[in-house]
Amino acid sequence: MHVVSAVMVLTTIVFFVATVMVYNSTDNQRSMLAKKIHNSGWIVYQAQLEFLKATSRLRLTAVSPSPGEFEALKLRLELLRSRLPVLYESDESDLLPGLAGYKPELQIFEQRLDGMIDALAHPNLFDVSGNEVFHEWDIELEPLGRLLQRVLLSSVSYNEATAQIEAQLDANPARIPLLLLFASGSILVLILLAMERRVQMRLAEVMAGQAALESMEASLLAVIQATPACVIVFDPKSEQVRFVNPAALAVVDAPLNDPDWKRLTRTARDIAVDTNGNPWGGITMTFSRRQGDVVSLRGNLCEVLWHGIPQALLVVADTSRIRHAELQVMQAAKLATLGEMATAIAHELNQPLAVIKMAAANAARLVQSGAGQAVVQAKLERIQGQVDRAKRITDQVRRYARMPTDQSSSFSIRAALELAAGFVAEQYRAAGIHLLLRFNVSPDVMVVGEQTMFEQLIVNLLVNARDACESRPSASLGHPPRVIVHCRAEDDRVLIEVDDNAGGIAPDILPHLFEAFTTTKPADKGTGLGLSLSRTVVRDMGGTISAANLAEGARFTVDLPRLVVPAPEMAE
Amino acid sequence: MSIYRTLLICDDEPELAEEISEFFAAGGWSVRTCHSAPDALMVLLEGYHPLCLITDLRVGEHDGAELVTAARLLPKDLQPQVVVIITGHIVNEAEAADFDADLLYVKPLDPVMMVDQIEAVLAQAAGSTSL
Repeated sequence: MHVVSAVMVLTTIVFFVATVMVYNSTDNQRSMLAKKIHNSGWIVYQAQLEFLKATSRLRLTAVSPSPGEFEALKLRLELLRSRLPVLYESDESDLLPGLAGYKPELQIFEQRLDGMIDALAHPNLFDVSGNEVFHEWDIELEPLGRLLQRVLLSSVSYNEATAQIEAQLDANPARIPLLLLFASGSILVLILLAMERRVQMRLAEVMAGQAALESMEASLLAVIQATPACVIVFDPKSEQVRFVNPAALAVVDAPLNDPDWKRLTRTARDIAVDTNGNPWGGITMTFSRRQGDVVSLRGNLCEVLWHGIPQALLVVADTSRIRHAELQVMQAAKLATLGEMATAIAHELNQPLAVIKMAAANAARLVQSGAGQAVVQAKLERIQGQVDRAKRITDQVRRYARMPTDQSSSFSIRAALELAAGFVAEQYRAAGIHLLLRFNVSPDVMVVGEQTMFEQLIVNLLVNARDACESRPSASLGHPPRVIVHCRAEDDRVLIEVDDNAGGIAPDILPHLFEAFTTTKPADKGTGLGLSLSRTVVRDMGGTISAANLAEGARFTVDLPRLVVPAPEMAE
Repeated sequence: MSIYRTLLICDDEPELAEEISEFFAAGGWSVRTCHSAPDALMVLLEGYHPLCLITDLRVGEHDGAELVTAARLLPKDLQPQVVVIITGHIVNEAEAADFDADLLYVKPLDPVMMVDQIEAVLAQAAGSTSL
């Protein structure tokens, strides 16, 4: 479309320039031609006039010859002589039709006039009969007079014809320039019409687009207003809240200038920085409402253009119920695991109880036999130590059985792994499975999350590995069952790997392993929720969990962001 | 009591082994203590033939039942007359026979009752011998 318009505009310009040039050229030609025609009549008239003057002077000289008259006659004849070549040699003479045909005749008279002029150069040659000579010359020049008369008449008739043509031309203007002018004008009109059409179409498109945009904006706004997710737009610099939807208002329940909004947006940004390393991305957070309850929120913080101004968009869903349900399920899974471990816990508790029982029996015997106080005291101290040992076991159980909360905090990854491994160590020992801990991290390597839930995640993986080892295929029975827990830090990540040598996971189950209700265990042993919940725990910590088969068994990898604590500034 | 009563205790819990040892020693028993099944087996093979063997079912990474089996493979006159298994696991006492043991106790055990029952077994064994 643009190319066609450009070509049309260019054509119009070319036509217009051509029209102007043709018009100018024609006008100039006409002007020059008229001038030349005028001049051509003028030279004929001049020659005729000179002829009359010369013949008059000749007759006058014939009547009264004298040297003065001779000189005057000579001058006249020279002037006449000079006029004759002009009739056929000048540009103007070319315009008069037939003049070229008079040239030989005129040249004869030129020769004759030359002779007369030569004769007049020697006036002493004329005698008393000189008047006869001049009379003869007069007669000789008469044909020249008639010739000039014919030429003059021819010139006059030509001028009249030319005048008529000019009059006709004046009456009928040049058609070609007019046609060109008309063509260029028509094209110009077409261009204008096309452009107007295009502008109208463009305007219609813009109007339609604007209407669609307004409709879409209205629909989006309606969706935003109706969505159960909290939508909050705020200025990331001033933290001024620009827009909230009813769902957000229901959560914060305060006017937009209330400090609670800033508290919410600031918390979201801080968590995004902790989780993602920058103020944007997925977040999981809690918000303490002024009513006293705590809501769980999960969503995303991103940049948005709000009325043309860069703003922050916080979209979070109130996941309190889901979160509560997740925590309940997690708690149920924990208790189920605890139930499975009851035998092992009982065995572990029986060890200190057995020592206590025996030490108490010996103490009683010593008291009855009247032994010294120091010996009895030693028995009591032993009993005290074993009670402490039993308490540590019950504390561990109590810690494990505690209802998980939604409060994240930083904790040592190594300490958490040791606690989780310690919790299942007796089971492994009872099952004859080697549990190897290969931790290549220092105790000060920290991660952020709910520690109890993270420990539950590791316990889940270790219990799964134990179950896999106990039901491993006969092909892998040649080597002792073992589970290795690796932990290492890589840049800003912490990697935990739980490897077993139990033959691996069935390929058809592997892609669905972290989906809820996926299990390879008997119905009375697994809920099918353990790995699904593990994935939730890892995701809440901003990490990932994956599974793969190795040569001898399976490997579960947990990849977590490491909490990078800024180094303290050096004192001067 | 003409029989010289000897006892070999095998338990990886040193404090428990020490208390049991002390209790039996106070009752006139000559007691040796080991904290692992291989050590106890080595003691038996070196010629110490106790009248009674008390072993934990799981001694460290080893199975106490293996120690019992090894003791049972000794010549009849060198075998312990009473084999006792103690365990922290919840098991039925009727399972003692499964381990080829004379007595099985679940921790925490009653030492007085255990001594009485061992004495009863020894007396029963002595009676059957005299018959």
